Amino acid sequence: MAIIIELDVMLAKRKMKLNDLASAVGITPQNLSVLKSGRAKAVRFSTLNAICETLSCSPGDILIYQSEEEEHESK
Amino acid sequence: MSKVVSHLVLLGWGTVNNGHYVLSQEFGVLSVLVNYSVTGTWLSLAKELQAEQFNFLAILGSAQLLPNMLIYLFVFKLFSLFEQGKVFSLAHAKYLKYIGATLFGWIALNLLYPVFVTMSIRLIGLSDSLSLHLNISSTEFSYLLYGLIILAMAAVMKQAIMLKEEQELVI
Repeated sequence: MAIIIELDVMLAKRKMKLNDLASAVGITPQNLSVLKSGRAKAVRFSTLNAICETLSCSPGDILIYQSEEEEHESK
Repeated sequence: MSKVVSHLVLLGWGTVNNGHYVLSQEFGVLSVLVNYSVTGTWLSLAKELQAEQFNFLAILGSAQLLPNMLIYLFVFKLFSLFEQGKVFSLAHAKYLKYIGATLFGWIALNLLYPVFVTMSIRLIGLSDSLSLHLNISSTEFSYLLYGLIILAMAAVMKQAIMLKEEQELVI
């Protein structure tokens, strides 16, 4: 998919664990893992807002658009 | 299961009595009766087959048994899913679709099988007096309606399950 989730990068920058973020945001670690692995079909604004608030970042730091050509090149 | 057993029992030991295959046995005060009779659109062919000394139970009864058994199998599989605690899955939609498709197959069988039987017997040369039967009754229309309703239910269920799965992936 063209939208890349860079949640793991942001978590590493903030030195935060997935479980801690999940409890801070108020969703299950399983759901957060689905988001992190890129299997999610959609993200609610409320979830995105809570993640950005906890990680002190903007949505653009987590969601990155990559064209299919770039995706093929990176593979 | 009981249908298969009674069918096999009648095939083995049944006798033709007034257009019915019957096995009657007396055990003192206990009387056991197993019986099979062709009904609906196949009745006229059954009478002709009987007049020509053919075993109509083997020819028509076995064919009538097949869609019955398929429907029982799919219903059994459907209910075994409920037993496993699954109430809403793609497997439910799949078995519902199979039941609907079997009903459509049943209509095709009801219409075409007598023609196939007559043509086969005529081609083999076992009898020339059998006439072609292409009968349609209200039963076929009922099956068509039930089949359509069941197929529509399966399609709606499949869509609902896909929506539910997609909803589960909304974080």
